[in-house]
Amino acid sequence: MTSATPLLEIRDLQIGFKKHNHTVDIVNGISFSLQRGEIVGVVGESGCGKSITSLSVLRLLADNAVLNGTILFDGVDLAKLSDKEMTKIRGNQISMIFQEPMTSLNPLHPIGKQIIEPLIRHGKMPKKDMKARAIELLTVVGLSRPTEIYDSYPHELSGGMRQRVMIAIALACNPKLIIADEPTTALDVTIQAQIIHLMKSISEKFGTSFMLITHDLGVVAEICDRVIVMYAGEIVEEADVRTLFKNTQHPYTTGLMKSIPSAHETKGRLEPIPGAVPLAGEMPEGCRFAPRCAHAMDICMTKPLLTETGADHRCRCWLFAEKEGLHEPSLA
Amino acid sequence: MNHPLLEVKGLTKHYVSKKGLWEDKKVVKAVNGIDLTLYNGEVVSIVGESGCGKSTFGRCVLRLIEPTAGSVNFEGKSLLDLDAKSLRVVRRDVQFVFQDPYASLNPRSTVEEILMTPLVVHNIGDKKERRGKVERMMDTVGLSKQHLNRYPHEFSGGQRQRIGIARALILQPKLVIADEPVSALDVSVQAQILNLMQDLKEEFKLTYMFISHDLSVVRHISDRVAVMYLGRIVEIADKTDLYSNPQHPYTKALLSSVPVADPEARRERILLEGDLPSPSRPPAGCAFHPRCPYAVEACKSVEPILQRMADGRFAACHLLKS
Repeated sequence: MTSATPLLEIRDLQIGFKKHNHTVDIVNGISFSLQRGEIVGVVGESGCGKSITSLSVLRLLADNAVLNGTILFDGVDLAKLSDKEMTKIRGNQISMIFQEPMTSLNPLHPIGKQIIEPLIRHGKMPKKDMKARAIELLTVVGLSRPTEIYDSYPHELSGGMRQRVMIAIALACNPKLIIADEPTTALDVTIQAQIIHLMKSISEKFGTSFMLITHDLGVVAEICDRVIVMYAGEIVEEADVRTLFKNTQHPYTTGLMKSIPSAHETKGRLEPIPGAVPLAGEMPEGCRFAPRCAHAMDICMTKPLLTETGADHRCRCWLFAEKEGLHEPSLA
Repeated sequence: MNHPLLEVKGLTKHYVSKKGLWEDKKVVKAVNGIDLTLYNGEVVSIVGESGCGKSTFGRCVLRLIEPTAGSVNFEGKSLLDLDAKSLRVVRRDVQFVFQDPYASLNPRSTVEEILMTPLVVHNIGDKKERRGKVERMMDTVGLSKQHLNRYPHEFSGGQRQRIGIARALILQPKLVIADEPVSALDVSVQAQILNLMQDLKEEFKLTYMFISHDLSVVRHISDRVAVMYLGRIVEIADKTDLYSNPQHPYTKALLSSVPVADPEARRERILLEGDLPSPSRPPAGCAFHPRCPYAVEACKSVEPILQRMADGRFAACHLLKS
C-alpha cells in the first residue's frame, strides 16, 4: 500500500476570506501529506480551520476565499486546476462525506438516482449496469433490503441509514480519497460505532485513503493511522496515532486530552484549558496558544515553527524545539 | 441523602397524531411510565440515544410539557395537581438549564435583563437588592459584571452557557434539571462548564437531574445513572456499578460503543444491528429485542418490568434474575 509519492500533499496552504476591504486569515500555512490507503485524522475545536482545509482540497470554498499554496493530488496541483477540470476529479477521484446526512441528500430524489448521479457524471459505465452497481454499493455499506432502499426517499430512512447512503455515493466511482467531515457527530453512539467500523473496513477492502475531520479524540484513536492537531488555523502537532496518545507533546493536545471525561474510567476533576479559542482576525502574536498555555514563557512571543521532534512526530512548541536544539531560540 | 426531593411515578407522555384519511389514530409513546426518585444533594443522570424520550421526560417533570399520566411529587407537593399560580411558586425551586445557549437566551435582552427577570417574576427584593444579586451571580459563574449591559451575541458559547446557568441559579433553586448543557460546546470549554456545575452544586447544595447522550460526561458528573430506551428506563444503578458492571444488554452495548481515546486499547465491541425503532411503532414485548444479541422467545411477547436486582440496582430484562 505504501508508495514513494504521497496521494495528497499539501504545501504551505493559506486560506483567507475577503471581508469588505481586507482579508481574514483562517488557515495559516499548513503542510502535510497523506499516503495511499492511510486514514489521517484532522482534530481541533470549532474555528481551527479543519473544515475549511478539507473543503479547499475539493475546491468547495466560497467565492470570497483567497487560497495560496499547493494541493498536490496524485501529482496534480488542485489549486491550479480550472473549475471544469476540477469537476472531473470531484466525486470521482476524491469524494466527500458531510456531517449532516439529513441535509446533504436531496429530499426530492430517490436514493438510487442520487447514487447513480456520479456514475453518469463521470461516464463510468453503460447506463444499463448502473442500477446493479448502485445496489451493490448499498450492500457494501451494510444496508439490508438494498433494492427497496434504491427506490426510497431520504425521509424514509433513519440518520444512520442516510449516512450509509452518503458513504455509498462517495464510494460510487471508486475514489482514491474520501474526505469525511465529522461523519459521525450527528449520529447516536451505537450508530457511530457502526459507521466507524464501516469506514475502517472500506479502507482495508478497497485501499481507500480517508481524511477524517473530527473533534472527537475517541474516534481518532479508534480509526486513524496518523493524526494532525490544528489550533487557530495552524498545525500544532502531528504524529502517528500511537505516538500522539502515548507521547503527547504540544500543551494544546495535552489540554484537550485532559479536558475530556472518560466513559471507561473515573477521572478526578477535569482540567480544562482556560479561556477560549481566539477569533479569526484577532490572533495573538507569536505562539497562538500562548495566552491559554500553562507553560507560556517569554520566548513564546516569537512564533515557534513546526519541527521534527521525534520519529514521525512534529510539534510547534518552544518546549520541544529547544530540547531538540533544532531551532536556536532568538529572543524577541 | 436519604430525604427524597423529587418522586416521579408512572410518568407518561403520549402524543396522539391526527387521524389520516384512511389511517387509524397513531399514538407515540414518548415517555412510557417512568419511576424515578431523586434524593437531596444527588446528581442523577438520564442517558439514552436520540428519541428515547429523555428530554420529554425532563420537561414533563416541570410541566413544561403536560404529561399524559403519572405523578410528580416535589417536597411533598403533587406538581401535576397544582394550578398555574402555585406551580410558578414551585418553579422557583426547580430550574432548567437548556442545551442550546444560542437559542435559549433572548437576543434582544441584555444579560442584566435576562438575570433580572426571574427576580422580578418572583417578586424578590427591591431594585438595589436585585442588582446586587445579579452582580454576585455574574461573579459566581465566572463572568465580569462589566458585561452586564452586553447582549447574548457578544458572548462565546461557553460564556452563554454560563449566563444560562446564572439565570437558573439566581432564584437559589433546590433542583436543577439540565438538558444536554454541554453538548453544544467544544471539549475544552465543556470541561470548564462541567467543573463550574460541580462547584456550584457544592456551594448552593443543589440536586441535579442531568440529561445527556454523552456517556463520558455522565460518568463524570453523576452519582446515579438511569438508562432510557424508547420511553422506558431499562437500567438504573449507582454510577460505578453501571459503568464497571452493566447488566442490561442495551447498557452493555451502549457502553461498548463509546470510542476509547487510546489506540492501544482493543476492546470487545458489541456492535448493535439496526437502528432505534420509531416510538410510534415500538416492537412488541421488550422494545430492545430486535437489536438484542441475547433475545429469547419471551422477549418478543412479554414486556419486562423494571425490577430490583440482588445488588440493589434496577433493570428491566427477562434474562436478569431479581
